[in-house]
Amino acid sequence: MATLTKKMDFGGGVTTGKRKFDLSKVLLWTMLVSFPLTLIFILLAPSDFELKYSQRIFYFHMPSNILCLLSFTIYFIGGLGYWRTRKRSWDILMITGLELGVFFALIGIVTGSIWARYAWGTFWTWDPRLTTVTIMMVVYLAGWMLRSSVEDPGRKAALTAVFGIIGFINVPLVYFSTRFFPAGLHPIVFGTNGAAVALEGFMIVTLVISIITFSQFFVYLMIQRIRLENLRDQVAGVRMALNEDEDYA
Amino acid sequence: MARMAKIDRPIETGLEKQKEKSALSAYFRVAGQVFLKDIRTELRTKEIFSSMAVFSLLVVMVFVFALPGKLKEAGDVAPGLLWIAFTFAGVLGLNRSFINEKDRGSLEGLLLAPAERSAIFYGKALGNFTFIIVVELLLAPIFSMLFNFSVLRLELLPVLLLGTIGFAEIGTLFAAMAVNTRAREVLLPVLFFPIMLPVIIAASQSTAAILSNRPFDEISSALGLMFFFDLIFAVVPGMLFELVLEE
Repeated sequence: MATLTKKMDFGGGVTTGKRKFDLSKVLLWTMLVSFPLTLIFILLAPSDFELKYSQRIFYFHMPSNILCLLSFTIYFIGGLGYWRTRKRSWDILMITGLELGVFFALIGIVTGSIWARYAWGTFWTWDPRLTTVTIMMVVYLAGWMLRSSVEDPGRKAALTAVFGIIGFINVPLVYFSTRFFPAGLHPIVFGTNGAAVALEGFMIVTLVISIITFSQFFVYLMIQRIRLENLRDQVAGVRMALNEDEDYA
Repeated sequence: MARMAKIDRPIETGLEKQKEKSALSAYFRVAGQVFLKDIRTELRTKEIFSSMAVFSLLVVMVFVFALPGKLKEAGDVAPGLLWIAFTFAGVLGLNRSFINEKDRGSLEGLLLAPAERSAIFYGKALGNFTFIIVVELLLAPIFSMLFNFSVLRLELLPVLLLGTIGFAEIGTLFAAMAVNTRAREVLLPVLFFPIMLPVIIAASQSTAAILSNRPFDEISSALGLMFFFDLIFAVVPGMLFELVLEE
């Protein structure tokens, strides 16, 4: 994984020689098919008995939340990798996970509260899950601020790594601490609990398709983010070389 | 770090066990010396302590004026306010602990010392813990007096200790991080508050339970959470501290 960001140039930038396989372009084409397909499935899926049409936002809500957790896990792994190796590629992985995580957390929270307005009659309640995801997002926003207020690239990476590791370890503690609040309203979708909302077969198919589509989008964004960071490095290198020339002139 | 350790290592004597023992005692000696240095500096300047004490007193006074004159149930808000005051005062003190070092140029000296970086961290954290707990113990009676609601209970002591240990551990690490950024004083609370939320929730909930004489069972899980938090973050920041202070 450490070499992943470095070895896979993902095209772009000043590359010489023959054209390389570009995963992001492939994803762009498959998304052209899968996005309309997902929408069709979401529209065709049967309506929920109680929640009626509003239940369909769930097909956006759940994939975003899964990908948000995945992103923060990627950030954590990047942090551990940087801590052990001090390699720039781990740093790129960290920033990718951090930014995508905040993005998908935001989508999850917004879709969730729109749905909650119809289902529970309120945009917001201090339910353990809601509280946890909110605190988590605030933690990672703070991480983002930390990163933007450091100039030196090495120190930037080091501090991002430390914060990522601490923040990730903290998530289960936050979740546990929110249990001290009164019980919440959030449904448990999967599981044998009595409060579980049952999903029909067709709904599950729709959900799976939605998750696949979102994952494609996620991988696409990730590749682009890594590529952007690599390009920045190249620009910084060129700029440094130019400055050196000026000094000699 | 490895380089530092090499310098520090005594000449080969073949007595492996004794060497290990002396290395361990050297580690604790370094941590102890850093702690004593902080205490000594503080006793001479009284800078951190005085600003924390005055600030926390002002926070409590702002609460008194901002809240309606006659509270029906001071017990409903007092635990939360008490922990807000502790948190704010704590952040103020934590900020100074590294900014002072940085501004006086003594941080470089500390880093040049042939010692484990984590030993420096534990010494600093112990110092910060001492400053915060002293201010908290001083603030509690004043708080009780101004609110006309006693928070002075012996049962609160474990809550106070567990909460403050967590403050010192995470706070010391983040203060060392924030000192090397552009917006250093501003950044520490931004980093510190969200991470500390589990402790703040658990501490204020259990303080409320104790003050309203609810049974111990209700707070045991909150105390357990704080203990667990303290335990995890007693180890992790020590491991990461080296990364924070890298040049």
